[in-house]
Amino acid sequence: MGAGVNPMDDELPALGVGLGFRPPFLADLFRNRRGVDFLEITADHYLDAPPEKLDELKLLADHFPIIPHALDLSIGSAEGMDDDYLEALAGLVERLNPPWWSEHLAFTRAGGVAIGHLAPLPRTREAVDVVARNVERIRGRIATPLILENITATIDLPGAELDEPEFLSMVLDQTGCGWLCDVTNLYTNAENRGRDPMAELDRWPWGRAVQFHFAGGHRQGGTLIDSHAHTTPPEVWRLLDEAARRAPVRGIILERDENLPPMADLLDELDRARAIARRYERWA
Amino acid sequence: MGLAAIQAALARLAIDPTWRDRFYRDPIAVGAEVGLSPTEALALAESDRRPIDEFAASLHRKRRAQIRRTLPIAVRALGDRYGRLFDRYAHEAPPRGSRADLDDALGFVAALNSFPETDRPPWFPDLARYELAWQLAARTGIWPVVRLFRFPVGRLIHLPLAAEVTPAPTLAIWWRPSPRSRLRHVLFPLPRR
Repeated sequence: MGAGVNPMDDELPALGVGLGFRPPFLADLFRNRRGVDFLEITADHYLDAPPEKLDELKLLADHFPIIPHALDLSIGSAEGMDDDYLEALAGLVERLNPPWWSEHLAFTRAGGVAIGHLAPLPRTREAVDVVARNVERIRGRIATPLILENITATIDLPGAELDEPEFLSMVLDQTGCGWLCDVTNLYTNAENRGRDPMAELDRWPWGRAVQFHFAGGHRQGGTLIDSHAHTTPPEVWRLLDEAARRAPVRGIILERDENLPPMADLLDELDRARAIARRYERWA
Repeated sequence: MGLAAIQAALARLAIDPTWRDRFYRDPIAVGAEVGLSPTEALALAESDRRPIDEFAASLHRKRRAQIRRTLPIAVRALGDRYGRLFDRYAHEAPPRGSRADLDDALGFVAALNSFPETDRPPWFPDLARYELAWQLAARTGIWPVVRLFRFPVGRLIHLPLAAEVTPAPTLAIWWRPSPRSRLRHVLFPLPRR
């Protein structure tokens, strides 16, 4: 299966605990360099970017390990992926030379339409095959290990043959990709479907987890929204602890997009995540 | 269920409110437009519609916020009117292109001219075009970007929406002397005809 991802492989370095980079963080990041081990950048922001934006990326890359996180490759599209996007993404990954990079297990383009939003895949064997085919094509262009993120989804498309853990496990097995486990998304999906995430912990493919995301969302009309707009809630901290106990994780990223707090508050959350990873001896 | 067809259907349901309403009224005929079999169309139509509507609403909010980030000066000038104007634009126009932060803003700015002047002052489309041109010019490499405006766009940035402005044709040029150099910009007032 090509260059598969085995998180236990010594070649995947432990990056520690870091932030999903957003431009408002820039100045505070350099004032608090020691509290942030690595950064995850939104790859799309640097694909068709002006020189000023590329200067920003160089500045970040000179001081932090950087993981590119892509949004719009549409890895689950039955109609295939956009060649220009893949080419631009390959150029970015080549430029940064990260130990791994990530995308979402989702689709964003179909029927000639760019949705501009992560859409859930039907949990079918056909969808697994399509993802595997697209990943093979990606590997022809990007040799760096790819890890796939579980998304939030309120839509359950008809015709599902697999449940969430089965679908993810089958995709990772068939593609050889690692797992970017968004712990908040696991919690959000379970909560919105009335399930207990702690009760189904042993069904997830923890051995494939390379990186975690965590964040806080909000409720809207009874639905939990993964808005990255609030402090991480206690339920997600408990799930993160259980995830770190089970997974050979190499990096943990806090995501915050809205309602930005002082950097000190974000650093407190990073310290707490770092303590969890150290408790299970995930890195020195 | 055919993956390509179900994905095409979900994409249309998410971005096109008119198609969404048509689909739920006549799933078999409308679903066939994207390749759904009658069985597939009925299965999709009979599943819970609420999450589909929430997904579409979430995309709508994301587009509105994205244009606000791309055109902060123009959107701030519009104040409370922005939401209403965006809703009108988005109802007619699905998401555009693959550059999420630019293509929808291009569509919104193009649509501004079709909105009645009771909803925005005559100079407002020039302000939005001017702000958008900065974004485009920043990404255009060494090729210059040239735009002609009806109003003195350099002044518009600081004006309240209620301000009355006399038209004064203005030529705007952006360029980079080399691919890595800073973006340069100049405005030329033109004689009125």
